[in-house]
Amino acid sequence: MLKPDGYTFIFVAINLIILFLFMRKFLFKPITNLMEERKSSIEQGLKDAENAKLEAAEARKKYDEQTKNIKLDGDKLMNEARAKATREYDEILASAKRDALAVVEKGREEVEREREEMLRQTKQQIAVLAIAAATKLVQANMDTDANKAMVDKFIDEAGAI
Amino acid sequence: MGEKLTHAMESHTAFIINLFGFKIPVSDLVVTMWIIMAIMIVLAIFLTRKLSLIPNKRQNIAEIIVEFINNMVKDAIPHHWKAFAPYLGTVMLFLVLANTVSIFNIIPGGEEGFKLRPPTRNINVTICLAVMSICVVIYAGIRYKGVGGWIKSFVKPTPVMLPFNILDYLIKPTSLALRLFGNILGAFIVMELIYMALPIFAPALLSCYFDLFDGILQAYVFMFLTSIYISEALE
Repeated sequence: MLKPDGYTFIFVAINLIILFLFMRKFLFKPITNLMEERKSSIEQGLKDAENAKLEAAEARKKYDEQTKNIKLDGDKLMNEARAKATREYDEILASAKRDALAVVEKGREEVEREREEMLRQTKQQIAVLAIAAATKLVQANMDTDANKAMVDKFIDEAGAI
Repeated sequence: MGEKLTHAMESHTAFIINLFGFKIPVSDLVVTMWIIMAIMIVLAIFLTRKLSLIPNKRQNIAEIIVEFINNMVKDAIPHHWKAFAPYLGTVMLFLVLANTVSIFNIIPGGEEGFKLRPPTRNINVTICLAVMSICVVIYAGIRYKGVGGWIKSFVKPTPVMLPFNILDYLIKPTSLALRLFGNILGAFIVMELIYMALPIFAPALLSCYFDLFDGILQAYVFMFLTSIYISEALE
């Protein structure tokens, strides 16, 4: 127990070195490496998850912005279309009114013209009738110039009525 | 009784190797150590078979042991723990088994024939362990500070400390060796006496303290002090 024993000393030293090499190769190195690998893989995973989250948030923001823009554009287009439609409607209405007025005007002119024509014809016929009547009435002396002038005057007066 | 006790305490030549005419006696301490080594290596290989990132039961056990040792070494040697954890862990695991090996006897007590007795009850074994530890301490100093830096560390903090620093390298292994040897031998003798006096029931309870607690504590202390010495050498 207390006796110096060189053989035992050397054996223990050799044994310890062999044991150390074995344990390092089979237990400590692989397990430590594995745990570090696991740690780094977990860290990587967490980082990836964080990145994915950030990316998703960014994408969502972008998407929201796009939606807003689309809505704004849509509103703008709608307003424009509405304004255009209103303008066109007004235009159409105005032109229709104008056309109607023109038609009415034309109609009135036509009527006026026809009336005048009728009047003129009537005047002529009345003149003929008057002459005929006067001829019949006065028989003989009606072909004189004085009489004819009298008849014309009568017709003019009749036409003025 | 005294003879029986002395017989249990002393180491004996188990067999003799005949190597090129040299007769090398192999003591039963070395045979016990080989048994412990075999168990450790087989267990290490068995527990680390088919390692994967998602551990199974066997791997979990290995990871708990390695992580426990790594964390302890990390506390003492924060930067270079990776270089020293395997050695310190080996020594600790070996000492845990070596100090408590006597509880694995099928029939406990000081009987005749080959018995599993702690090899650390012999001073040659503990001195060897302590010298190996101090070699690692010196290796640490030279490896991480260079030969010049290591020699300079003898005259720090002042040159007056030179003899004490040199003595340090003698006192450290001596104290390591004697602490382990004394504790284990003391516990071993007490247990042997208990086996002789009260062979039934009492040993089971007391063995928990003298074999298990004391053995594991001394293994931890040995490893802890070695790691402290290494971190001192690295400063």
